[in-house]
Amino acid sequence: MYEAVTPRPDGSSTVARFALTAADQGYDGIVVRADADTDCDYDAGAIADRYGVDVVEGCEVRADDRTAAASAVDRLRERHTVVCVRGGTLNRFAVEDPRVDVVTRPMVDGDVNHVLAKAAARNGVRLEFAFDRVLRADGGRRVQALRGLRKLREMVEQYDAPFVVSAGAESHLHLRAPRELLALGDLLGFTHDQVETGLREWGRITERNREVVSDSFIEPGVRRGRYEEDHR
Amino acid sequence: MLTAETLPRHELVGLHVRVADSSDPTLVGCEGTVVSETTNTLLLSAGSRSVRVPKAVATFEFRLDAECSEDASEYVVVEGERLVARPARRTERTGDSRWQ
Repeated sequence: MYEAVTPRPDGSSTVARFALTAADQGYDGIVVRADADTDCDYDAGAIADRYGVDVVEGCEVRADDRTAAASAVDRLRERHTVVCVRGGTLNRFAVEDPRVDVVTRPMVDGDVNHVLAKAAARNGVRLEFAFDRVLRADGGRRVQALRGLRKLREMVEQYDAPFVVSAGAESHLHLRAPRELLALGDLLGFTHDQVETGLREWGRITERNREVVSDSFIEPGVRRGRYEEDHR
Repeated sequence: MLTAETLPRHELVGLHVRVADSSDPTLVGCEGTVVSETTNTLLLSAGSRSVRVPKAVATFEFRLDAECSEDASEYVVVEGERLVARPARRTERTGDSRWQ
């Protein structure tokens, strides 16, 4: 199971600190999603070796309009393993572009209707269930977050859209263990299976994208090399 | 130009192919040259034997023979689903985006 994190300078902890906390809590890896424009210097390999968790290089596209977002995705797709797009006004753009992996926080400043859910299912774009406001906000904002999560869950269940789950950690203190997220999901109306699938989905995205950029991959269903080599 | 990238859109008749995997175990290991193609099948011929293989249930391993004399053949593994189409129309399909 993986968790997605936002490190410095957007968040307040470094990637190494996140890795240490995630390892303690029992995660298999972390997906580092920094803002696309900020340059986040970290040595993924060294941190992965030191703390025993997989460190995945991702990014999050935050743009104001479709053209800026499209050019950002173009630029970043080959360089990062996981490409996320901050949802809201860009929900429609993100679910219609198969190069995007995850739409983060789709219910903040935006909405997901049946059209978007079907498009996400068709293009393989995951919708993120963001537990960050449920965990750290209170009052009206939290109520709205709960409402948004419930609507998103109903959409995802009805149209079989792919999804991921994240606590949206911006500091290592925000990270929650898988067990705790499962318990929280229980209270919110998710099944254990759903939350677990959502956490494991990050790992599946990572594995598939690393395979896509490998030399032997040409397009879905076509690869170089002999059959035995690929399936050892 | 026949390369690994253009193979799904290329003319398959005349290429050497082997059925690497299939849900029908009797087809696994069939090897030969493609003699004819239809929307859903490939007709392989090896010597005097001919086998008609449905595309959708098989995974094919094509051999792209090198131009030079040494044995530097390149192999490409293609899932049959990707090839299901009328042969003339198959050359038009660009296929799904890599990131699908």
